[in-house]
Amino acid sequence: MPEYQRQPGLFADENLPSAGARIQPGLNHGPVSAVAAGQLWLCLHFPQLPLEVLELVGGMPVAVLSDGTARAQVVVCDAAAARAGVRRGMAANAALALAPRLQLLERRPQREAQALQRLADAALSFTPAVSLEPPAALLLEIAGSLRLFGEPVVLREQVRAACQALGHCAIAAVTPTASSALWLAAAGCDSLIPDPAGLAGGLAALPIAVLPWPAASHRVLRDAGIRTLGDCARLPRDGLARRLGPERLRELDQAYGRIAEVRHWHQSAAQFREQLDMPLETANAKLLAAAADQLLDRLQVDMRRRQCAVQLLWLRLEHTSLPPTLLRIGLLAATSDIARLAELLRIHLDAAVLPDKVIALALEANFQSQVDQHSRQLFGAAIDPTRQPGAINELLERLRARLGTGAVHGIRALQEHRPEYAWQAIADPMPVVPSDSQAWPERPLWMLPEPLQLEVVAGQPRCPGPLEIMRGPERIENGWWDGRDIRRDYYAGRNHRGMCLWLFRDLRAGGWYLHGIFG
Amino acid sequence: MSSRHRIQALLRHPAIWQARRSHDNRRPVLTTGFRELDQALAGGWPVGALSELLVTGWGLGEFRLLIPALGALTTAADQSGWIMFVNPPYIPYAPGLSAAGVDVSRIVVVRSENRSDTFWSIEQSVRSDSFSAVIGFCEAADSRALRRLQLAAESTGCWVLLFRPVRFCRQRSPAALRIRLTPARQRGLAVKILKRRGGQPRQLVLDA
Repeated sequence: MPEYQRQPGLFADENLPSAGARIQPGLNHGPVSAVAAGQLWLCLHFPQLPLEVLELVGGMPVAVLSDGTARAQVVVCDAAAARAGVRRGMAANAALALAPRLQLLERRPQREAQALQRLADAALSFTPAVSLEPPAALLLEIAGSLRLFGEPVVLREQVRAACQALGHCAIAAVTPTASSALWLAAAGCDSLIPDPAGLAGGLAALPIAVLPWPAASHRVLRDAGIRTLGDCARLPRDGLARRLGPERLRELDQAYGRIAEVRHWHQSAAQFREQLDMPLETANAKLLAAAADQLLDRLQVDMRRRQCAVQLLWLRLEHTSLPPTLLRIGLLAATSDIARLAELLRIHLDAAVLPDKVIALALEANFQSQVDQHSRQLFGAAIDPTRQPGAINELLERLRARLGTGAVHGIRALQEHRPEYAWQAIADPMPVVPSDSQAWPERPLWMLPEPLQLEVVAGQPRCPGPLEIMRGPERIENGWWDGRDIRRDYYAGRNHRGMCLWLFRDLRAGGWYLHGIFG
Repeated sequence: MSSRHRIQALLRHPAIWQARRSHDNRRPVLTTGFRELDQALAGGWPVGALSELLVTGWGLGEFRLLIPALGALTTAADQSGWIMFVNPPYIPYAPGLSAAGVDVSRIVVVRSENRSDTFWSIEQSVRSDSFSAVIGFCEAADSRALRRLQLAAESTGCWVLLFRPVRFCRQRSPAALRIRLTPARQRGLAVKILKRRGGQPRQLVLDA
């Protein structure tokens, strides 16, 4: 007899069977544990998932094979193939013999996993407790959601409709324990057992064959003439534990709600990653933008559900043989405005130089908690009380997308004597409240990026003709501590064309330089 | 009806413009900070319109001419005055601008590599409606590009300035104001108004 370890802290209910408690033989005769009371599980099983994640060209009956080997079996087939007699578990050849026009496709486990993730994300809008049950099921704990959504049957239909919207057809079973919901849904039963008292009756007719048990256990039970869970529950506990192992007995106890079970709750990823295969290879920016819009639509759904925003997007363009082209779309502030993202993406796609045609697009983004969320009006338009700063950020992003990140900047004056270091380009122009206390010396409005050496004739600088010195000298001697020290005499001069220039004589190395223009 | 009344009625026709009525106060303007120039421009820089400044070179005082208006825009109480420089010939020197009373934290500088990018940046900035002044620097421009800027400026009420070399002063332009800037014979800046709405060409010298 196994001893059950209670999960500490999992349920606050003191009526749990305590560690080492002996449970009466005969599963049906024991009291239904309080573990099951107060919980309600909705299991969504997606029998057609391997078929739903594939792109079908249509028209012909389709069957999905377990793998690419010669011994591959049919995993799932569509209604047309089923009418022809194709069944699950059939060899590929047998299926072809029944339906000669059958289209055989290989299973794509990775896509199935992604689809299941997406479904789990969608299910999170109904309850925070969602557990992934690969390969094709989800478990939702819905007791806490009933107050909001109403009767279990109403909630079940809403969840089913949400799955339908994502293109997946679900069998949904509702029971007080997770395992029983899983088994019932796997058996294709849309059962609704809201009350723990009805659990034993509801499970009695369930065939043993749907249980995810090893083949040896199934053989033992089949040889003993046990076909249903009801038969199994009538067996004495100690005999069952001896023949099948304590694990199976524990699973049965969990299904009947005698002991608690642990599920790992699904956390929606902090990252968005979606891929889309192009229907035809293309390098046309318009077609690519249209495909990217589809990915953005999915991003929008995700962002709205999570109430969050994105600040950095990556668009990966896959080519047949060359390495993928990566486009990085950075924003000044996190946004959830999909129209703005779509416009930026379009500018990037227009500017991108593609080495080859594109076969697939992938969009990746890290989610951030929403900072600038505004209520939506009844008819769509967002109410945005802080339009001005947002508008300039939007423009700067657009300019940067086309001209490059370094091409757009703000400027700042610093309290520094060396003219080169008295200004700074800043990435994010941000209005600051000016302090009136600062007194700035007389400085030109334009500055040359590098001082320009001037021609000197008879000890006098020329630019290009003779210069008339108007002010000066102003000695600037500074910076001995950081190795970029200067020793210069600055003058304001005027040439024969009427240009007011700011020039200096380098007292260290000699020579005259033009440094600024008064403008 | 006397003949005088008949003439009065005729003169009220919107298609008739009287030289006497030079102060057209219906259009919004931004004071230049120079009294003579304000008079010559019927109040100041035309806002919501494109102005072209044709210059013989840099350092004549062409930038100083804008400083009072820029200072007034950036230090306006409503905190909405962003200023954009598109493709300036040199670095707008922040200490110099600060000394002249311009709040440099409201300046955005954009550098572009070709003419179409320059015009695209100017037009995007004007149309974004978040800049109160957009100052572009370019050489050749076709009149379609200029017309687009003029229309963009009209639609948002932005003060749009375009600096171009003086050799383009004979080119036709849809700009509302065209000014040629040359160094004055003695000192200061000779300002020649080539074209302005509802006014005649004239010339003056500023000590800018």
